[in-house]
Amino acid sequence: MTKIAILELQHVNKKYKTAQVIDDVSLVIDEPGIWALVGPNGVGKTTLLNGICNIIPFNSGKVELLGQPNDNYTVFKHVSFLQDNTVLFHYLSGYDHLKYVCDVHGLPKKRIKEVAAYVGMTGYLEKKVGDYSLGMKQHLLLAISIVNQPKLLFMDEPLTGLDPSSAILVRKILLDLEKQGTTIILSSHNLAEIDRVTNQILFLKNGKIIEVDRENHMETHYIFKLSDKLSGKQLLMASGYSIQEENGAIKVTINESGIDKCIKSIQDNGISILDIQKEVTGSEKLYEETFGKRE
Amino acid sequence: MKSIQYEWKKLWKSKAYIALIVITMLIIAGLFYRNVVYQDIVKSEKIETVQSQSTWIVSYLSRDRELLKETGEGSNPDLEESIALGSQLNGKLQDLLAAIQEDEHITALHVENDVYALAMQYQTMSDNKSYPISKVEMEDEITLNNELLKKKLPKEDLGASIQPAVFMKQVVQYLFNTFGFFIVIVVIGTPIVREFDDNTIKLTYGLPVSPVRMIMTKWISITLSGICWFVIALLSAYAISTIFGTEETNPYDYPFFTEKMAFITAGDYLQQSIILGIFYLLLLMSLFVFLSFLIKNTLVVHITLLILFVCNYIVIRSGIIFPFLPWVYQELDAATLQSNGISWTGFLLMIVFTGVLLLLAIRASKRREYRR
Repeated sequence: MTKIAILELQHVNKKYKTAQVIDDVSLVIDEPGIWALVGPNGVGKTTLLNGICNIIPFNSGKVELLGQPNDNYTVFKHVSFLQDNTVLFHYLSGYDHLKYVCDVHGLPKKRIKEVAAYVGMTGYLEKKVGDYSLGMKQHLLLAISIVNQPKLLFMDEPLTGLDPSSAILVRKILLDLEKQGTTIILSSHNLAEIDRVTNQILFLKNGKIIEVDRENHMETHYIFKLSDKLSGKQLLMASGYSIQEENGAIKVTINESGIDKCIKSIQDNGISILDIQKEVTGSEKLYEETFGKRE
Repeated sequence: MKSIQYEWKKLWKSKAYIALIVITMLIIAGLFYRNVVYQDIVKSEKIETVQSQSTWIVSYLSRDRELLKETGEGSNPDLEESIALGSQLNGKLQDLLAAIQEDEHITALHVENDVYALAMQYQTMSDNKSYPISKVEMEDEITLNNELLKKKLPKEDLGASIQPAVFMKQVVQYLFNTFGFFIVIVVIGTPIVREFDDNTIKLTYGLPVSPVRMIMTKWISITLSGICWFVIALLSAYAISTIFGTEETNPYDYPFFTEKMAFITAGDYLQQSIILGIFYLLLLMSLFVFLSFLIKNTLVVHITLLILFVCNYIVIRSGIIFPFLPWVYQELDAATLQSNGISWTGFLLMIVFTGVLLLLAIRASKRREYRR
């Protein structure tokens, strides 16, 4: 049996007057996960996502979502699109929006409260959207897009306007959804945030999706909080690790295969590890290589 | 059904619709108050008209009497007969004046008929004397008075009455016309077409909503809103005129002249107006939904509608009214008075046109290109 692609683009094109915004893009995503669509402003990320979700038509080409053409409206029972906040009615409340979306999906009313609590907007659910801050609107858009527990989720700049705690919450939700098997394709400018949620990046340049050899550019760091920072630092330096001090913690650049040895070496010297966090970086370097460094 | 509720909510929460209803009720209340104030003016105008007729006849009488004095009695029998008839007419005009002043409405109708009968006779006798009212007008008045006498109803001024049925006709005439319907469609329809300008339509586009469901939901919700406005306007007119207006035993029997100079009772007139008005709203709302999804721009849709309304108005006013064409109901009063009962052809055409416009709207909704 042939495996059904989660997303398949075949030679899609989009032209606005003389500008070729999307130029013969083909893409197949057949493994669940989080994918980041990255590119500078105006490169066509939103146009690509709008075209994929049949919000605007492509001039040519074919789009299939979960094995069905994107102009089959029923596919959107399992596919969601987090759009920009202009899609919200400023004179309606968050509850009104969620109720409408739940009604369209045939979901019970209790789902509204569940999803509102999940994205942390219970406190202002009944307020008019016109009174919402940018971050609150993002929360509502997120709630709208996940209320139906989609199999495929497109997100256009989901981190725009979020304060750090909201950004952490959104990151947690994205990772939760990924664990539940949802494939997420998100566009974002925030490369550091992208590094935290995915290692699968699609660059959009001159209307084309560019495949990049990301593995060679990725750096994995582990941030340790130790019971004895000074001894730990000396130990790691003596063992030849590349380290940096960061907010009272020690950041060690090391690949995944070497982390167990590093941890063992710390513990063998009687130093307790209070906390350990993984951080992957490298998108920024890749971005600069792809699009050039802005002077 | 739930989606219709959502569309309703959007309309209600945009506040323009509530403002429309409140303004409509205020206009009706204002119109009724104006009519109340006008009651004395109407009476004094009637008195003035009768007095002017009396002045006219008196001047001829005195001239004829002078002439008779010069020629001598018995020399001109026609002149003598004319003087006798003129005196009789003047006497009846004085009786009419008294009946109006005493508010003896039924007596006034009888006397008015006598006045016109004598006036026509008087005019026939001497062609060079033109009575202030034409023969045709007098004949029409006699026909109306006889109809009113049959129903024992006083004569009303159609432009300033506080009799419930007549006041409701005035509301139909003043509100359910080109201007009224245009304002209503702009207020009720704008939230729908504005979704294209502010991008909110993209929320629905990203959901599993079929084009048929999307169009029908919008059409049903704005049609219901339009009908709701229509009914509220009529109920307000009914309530205010029934509570504060004149009391008659059978106000809805009041006769109105149709375009063919036959009579239609106020009850039949209102019944037909309501049915034709609802026909028109169904058609108008489908036209608006179609234009919205075709043009996708608020200002251009409004300008297009305005052009269509004005052209239709010019055609109707130039007298080209085919009562079976549903768009002539844009001038509801004229269309009702023109139509001879509810036209089944009109009903069928309305269904066909509405259906075609909705199908075109569904087709247009699949074309999702709009401003970047």
